[in-house]
Amino acid sequence: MSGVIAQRYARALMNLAVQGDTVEAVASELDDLADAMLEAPQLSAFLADTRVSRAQKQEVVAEVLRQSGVSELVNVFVRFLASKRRFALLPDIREIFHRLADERLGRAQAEVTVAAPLSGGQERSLQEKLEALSGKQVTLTITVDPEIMGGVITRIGSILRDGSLRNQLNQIRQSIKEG
Amino acid sequence: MKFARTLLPALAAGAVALLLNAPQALAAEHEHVPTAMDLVYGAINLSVLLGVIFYFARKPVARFFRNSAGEQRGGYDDAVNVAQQTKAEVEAQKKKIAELEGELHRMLEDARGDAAEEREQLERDAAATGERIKTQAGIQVAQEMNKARLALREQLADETVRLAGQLLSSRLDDERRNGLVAEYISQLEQGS
Repeated sequence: MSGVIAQRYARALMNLAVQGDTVEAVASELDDLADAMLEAPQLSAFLADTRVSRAQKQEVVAEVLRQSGVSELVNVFVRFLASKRRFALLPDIREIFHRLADERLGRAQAEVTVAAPLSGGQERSLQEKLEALSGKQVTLTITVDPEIMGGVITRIGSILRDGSLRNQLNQIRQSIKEG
Repeated sequence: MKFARTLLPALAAGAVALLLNAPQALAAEHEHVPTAMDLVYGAINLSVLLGVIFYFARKPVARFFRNSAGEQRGGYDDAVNVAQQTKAEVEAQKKKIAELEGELHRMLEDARGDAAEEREQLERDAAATGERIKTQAGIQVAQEMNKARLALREQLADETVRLAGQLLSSRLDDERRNGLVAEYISQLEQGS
């Protein structure tokens, strides 16, 4: 349910950012705010405390926004969020906003899992192939997991391509079980 | 009792006659030597006494014997009646016993018939149950065999993959890993 609500807020913010041609800037400011929120759990606790009045919360949020020096759009958006008691959704909104921004700007995040670190050449080659496949500018997020034994696993959005040895062994196991 | 009632007057009369003649008899005994006339008087007295007794006792005695015979005849008749009734009752009881024996025989026959029918039904049920158990057992055996086969296959698959994984891990070096990455990138190209 909170995912749906966060998506609604993220889409609304995206529409406003597109109108102002500030998608990249808004994404960056959202990152800063969400990181700050994650780094200061007492802020989240304060804003979630039902004993604190809405006016006090608005005052604190306004002060945080003033100190962070965010744009007018983000400032208004976050104060609106706080007034609706949805401030806790900010990390989710940030993530969805990034995805929407990537789609709009023709970018894609590729989660890559390998058994051993890739060389620079392998990374570039993989990125090129993935960009060619998706038709988008791909950013790699590489994770090293020796459990996959060998090969590569990539995920762009909901598309998963598992070329790991572990997956091949699992397929062999499955074919033996099925006879 | 009746006899005593009828004989009592006769005895009373005899006693009166004896009392009347008693003084003469006593006087003769103490004063005189018995003579022939004394014997005659004695005989007369005895005759008179017997006559009086007969006179008064004949009717009661006759009546007594008559009554006694009647009673005996009545008793005999009663005994005959009782014997006849008893015989009839014995016959009736024999008839009843015969009927009961017949009834018992029929009941036994019925019971034998029911028992035979029930035995046949039980045999049929037992056969059906046995067949059902056999079928279920067959199904269970097949299921268990299938389960065991699957478990064995699963175990075989796990063991095969485990050994293959160990073998691959021991043989995988950087060159081979790089080869796998290159192969993956190559396949991505083909996929596009």
